[in-house]
Amino acid sequence: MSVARKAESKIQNIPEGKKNNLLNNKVIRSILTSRWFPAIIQIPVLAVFTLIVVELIAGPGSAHDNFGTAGTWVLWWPLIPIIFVLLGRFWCAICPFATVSDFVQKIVGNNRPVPKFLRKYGIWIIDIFFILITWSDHTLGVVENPRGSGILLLIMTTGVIASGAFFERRTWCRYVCFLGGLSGNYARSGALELHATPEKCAKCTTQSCYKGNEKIAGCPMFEFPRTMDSMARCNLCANCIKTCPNDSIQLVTRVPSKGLWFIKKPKFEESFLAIVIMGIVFVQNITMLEVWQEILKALENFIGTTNYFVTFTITFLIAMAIPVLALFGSSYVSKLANKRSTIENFARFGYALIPLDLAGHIAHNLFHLLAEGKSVIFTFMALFGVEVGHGASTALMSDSTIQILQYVLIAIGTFASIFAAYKISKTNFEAVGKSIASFMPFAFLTLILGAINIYLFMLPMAMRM
Amino acid sequence: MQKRKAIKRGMLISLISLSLLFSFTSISLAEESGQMGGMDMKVESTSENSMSEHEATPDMDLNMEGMKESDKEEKNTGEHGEEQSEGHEEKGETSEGVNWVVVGGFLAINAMIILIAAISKHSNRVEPQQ
Repeated sequence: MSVARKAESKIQNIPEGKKNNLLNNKVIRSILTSRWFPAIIQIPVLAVFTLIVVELIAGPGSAHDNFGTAGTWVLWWPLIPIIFVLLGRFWCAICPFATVSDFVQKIVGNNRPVPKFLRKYGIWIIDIFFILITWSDHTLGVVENPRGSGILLLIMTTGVIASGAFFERRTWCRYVCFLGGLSGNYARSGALELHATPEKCAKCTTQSCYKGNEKIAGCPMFEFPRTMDSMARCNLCANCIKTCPNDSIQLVTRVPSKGLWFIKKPKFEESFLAIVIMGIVFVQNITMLEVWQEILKALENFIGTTNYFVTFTITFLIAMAIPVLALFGSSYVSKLANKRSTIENFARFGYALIPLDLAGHIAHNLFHLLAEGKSVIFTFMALFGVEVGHGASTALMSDSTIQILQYVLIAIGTFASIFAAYKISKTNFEAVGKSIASFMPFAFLTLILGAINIYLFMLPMAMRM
Repeated sequence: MQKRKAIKRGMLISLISLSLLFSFTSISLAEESGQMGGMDMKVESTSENSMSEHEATPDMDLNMEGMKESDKEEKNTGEHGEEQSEGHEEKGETSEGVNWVVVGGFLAINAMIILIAAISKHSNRVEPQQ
């Protein structure tokens, strides 16, 4: 059995044996099947979240002094993509918003079915939210202003309360949450995979993994492990492990990005999100460069207005459009070889860019984590009136070390994306002898995107110490 | 039966309308009273120091010039820690743009949603019994 065939059979829920199954480990199994899991993690996370919200709303008005800002944007936001790589969507299982939603649902939940439009357009809604939040962040200053961040969290809290109060399971997390969309895309390439054992599921009459039993609820993410073909929506809450009467669920490790190689039903909107994230990373990088001011001035002269809403929106649209159009271009060239439609090629190969997205996302935020990491400690201690590190550097590492790490990450991401495109091409077009011709345009595109990322990280950043 | 459903719908619609009205009023009141400290709109043109204003992200930089306004304050007011604790009290009032009207608006919306859901759940329970 070839490596590709083995991996494919895995996605189709055909087990290769249980040697890889993490649930064979007694400690892991006992943790995941404990009645306290994941509540034991949810509660402290909710407590920290509450502190952060209070701090953002009522703490120091300056981001520099605010623990909420430091905790959210210097610690949590840079760490979250790393968690997605290692543990898939596990964050979603312990996310404080989801905890609030679950609580409200328990008390006053109407448990109505998910509206049709959400089921149909959920991913588009996530795409639009993600773009809008990034745009409003730049124009309204959500991140750099604690109050702005606080209001964003309050809006999201209201959303999850409404969702938990009226709709069943975790409707918000599955269909609306922009972070859920991001984490879903990243989790596809994560190092963990949960799947069922088809032989055992074939004999199952209860389907309690989906429906739940008298003690444990069914899958909160509307997934049926028996037919689940990716980790995009599984949040590893372990409900299915607890409810399965046949011990069918397996939790295995895999090479990161392997989950992208054999996607059976690619969706255009999911690939679109992958390429939009690339554009967003470009926007974040460009606006941090010293040349950004010159670009802005040139743009202001060209369009004849100094209104930042206008100038930024134009830059934002261009930065978003370039990667999307480039992916369309590659899809068109690939179409000439494999005779599938441009849209189908876009949908199929767009997933291959996820590793580079992840690398760009992590590399970009690495600066904040490593160059400003101590600010989390300083601002936390300040909550208790303890002055630590006044005037001291917030850096955990030197700029040059961080820069090397950024290059290494981009190199790994570029390689993983090219390899994923190769695997996708091989799986879909090897039979018709068009795998290399279909793969080449995407390999070329990935190399260009990787080179642009490296170039942006090479330029001096205005914000560096 | 249909009449009851119509009443239920009407009640839900009116409650939702009320909650929306309440929230919009609170936000506009806040804007009028000039307390919108949180969302500083960036419509100014570029300047030498505007880099910090334009940088956004989910990636904020605490070392940027714009982020160091408080440093100047600290220098004026003295020790970091002391200033912080005093600041909390002052900010708790209004000085640092804590918008309690907006916060209250959100709390009210959330309470309304929970109330509507509770009524809806209760009426759904009562209906099958009848």
